[in-house]
Amino acid sequence: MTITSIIGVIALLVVAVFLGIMARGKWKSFDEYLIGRRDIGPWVTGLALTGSAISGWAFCGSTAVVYKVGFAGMWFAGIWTLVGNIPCVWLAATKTREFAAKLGAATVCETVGRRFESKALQTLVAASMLFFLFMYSVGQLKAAGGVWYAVTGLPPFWCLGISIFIAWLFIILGGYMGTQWFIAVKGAFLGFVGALIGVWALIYAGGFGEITKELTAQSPKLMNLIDPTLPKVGMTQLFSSYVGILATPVIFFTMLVGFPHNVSRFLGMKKLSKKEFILLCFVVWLTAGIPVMLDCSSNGLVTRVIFGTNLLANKQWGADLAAPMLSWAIGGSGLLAMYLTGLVGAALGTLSAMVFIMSANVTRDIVKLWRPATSDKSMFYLGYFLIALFLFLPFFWTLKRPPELLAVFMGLAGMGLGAIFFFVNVFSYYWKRATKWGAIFTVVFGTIATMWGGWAVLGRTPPLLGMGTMEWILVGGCAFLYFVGSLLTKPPSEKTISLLFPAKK
Amino acid sequence: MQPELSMFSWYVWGFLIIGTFLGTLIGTWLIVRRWEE
Repeated sequence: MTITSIIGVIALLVVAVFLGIMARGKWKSFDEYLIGRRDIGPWVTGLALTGSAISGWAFCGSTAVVYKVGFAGMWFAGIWTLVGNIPCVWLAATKTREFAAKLGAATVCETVGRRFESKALQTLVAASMLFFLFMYSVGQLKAAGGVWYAVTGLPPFWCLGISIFIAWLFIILGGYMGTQWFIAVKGAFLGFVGALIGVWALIYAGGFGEITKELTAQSPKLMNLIDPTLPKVGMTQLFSSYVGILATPVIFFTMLVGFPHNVSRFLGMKKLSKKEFILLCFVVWLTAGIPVMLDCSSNGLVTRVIFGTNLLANKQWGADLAAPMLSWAIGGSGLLAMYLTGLVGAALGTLSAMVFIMSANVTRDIVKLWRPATSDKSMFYLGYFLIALFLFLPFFWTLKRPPELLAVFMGLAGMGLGAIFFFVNVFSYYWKRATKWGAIFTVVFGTIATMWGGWAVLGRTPPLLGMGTMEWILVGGCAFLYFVGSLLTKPPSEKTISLLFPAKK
Repeated sequence: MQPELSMFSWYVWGFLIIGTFLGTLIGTWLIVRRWEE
């Protein structure tokens, strides 16, 4: 079991280095390093979106939620994945490419800054994005490290340490192109393993009828779509009240459409034909849709059928063992090794996507913006250092417990990122009346509200309000300030508007 | 609770999976029919 898992992870890392080396000759300048040549096709782009959206949490934590609370957990566990990823393609794919190309932008922040003709906004967006991505990235390796240790008995130090070194290597060698390729390969692998485990688990458990019978015998409430016995404040509101459950599709929609590391997958995409756009939608549906929906719902239920509450008795890892133990129970050490490889890949791919953006937030969106004379060479060196730093910190906090305050803010970072950037970035592709002040109000409110929400929902005992209520406050507040702030202030110049929103022929 | 009654959750689950598949198809079709090459 341990040997096959080690072989799996080594194979993943060899592929990563190979792709980094392959992409090495593809960029000549810092701009090309950041964005490639805007010539990546629908297969790689679609798979990279899948790879970026499916994090270590989606591949492990989601099964744990359903294993723990039953069917009611599926709303939060990712049944809405497609409700976010497909609209991300519909709304952001061609527009991100078009806006970035027309504005000569190499990052999402630069696109926003130039679209609103404001260097101050670009800096603010970069700082807010950096803050949120940093918090969000801290937890990325946690699941992979814990599960690796629990399953193989080997300390996660070496597995994750070597993995992040390899990640650093392929990011600096391959730049945007190499990172995109690696995330795409990982996306394809996750889609395959996710579908395999999901379908295999359903067949193994004897189908829907058998699962229902077994779970009803354990506890009838495991089959309920809502569990009103759980607290209606804190995170459990998402399983126990309609306010919470109705917030879950909104969370997934805004998060997956707005995530900068998702939207950035389209920066280096080629101009698509109609057929290529259909192919892009199909690739995302195939790899990020059905497999993840199974992983996030039925897998947890089958694990509960097989193991009952036994896994919860493990004080250290508890429900996090649900997904790996399910793979082992239904497919033995071979499937478990595939799962573990997928989990390390999931964590590494999403982390790489985020780290690449975080380093560009500093180099391109702050340093180069305010000091244009900075040489490409200095930017490269600063970038390499920042990538190493941003990879190291999540690794460090996987081995060592993160500070309490950071742990609290991490919980809502995804929601905050989604609520802010859905409006400031993606909605602004379509609404030409949007203004920089509308965007600034949204970023400031979203950032402060997310920090307050982290304390009110997760930091305080007992929680002040539920996570679903907090999502409504966040999205509602961001929408209000974005629209009202924009309508009350002056839009960008006619020149920029006519460039980005040409009159229809 | 009767097992027949608890199958309801699976119907909702199946509806979501099939619904998102059909939604993907319909939405993509609506976008590409107005596609400007």
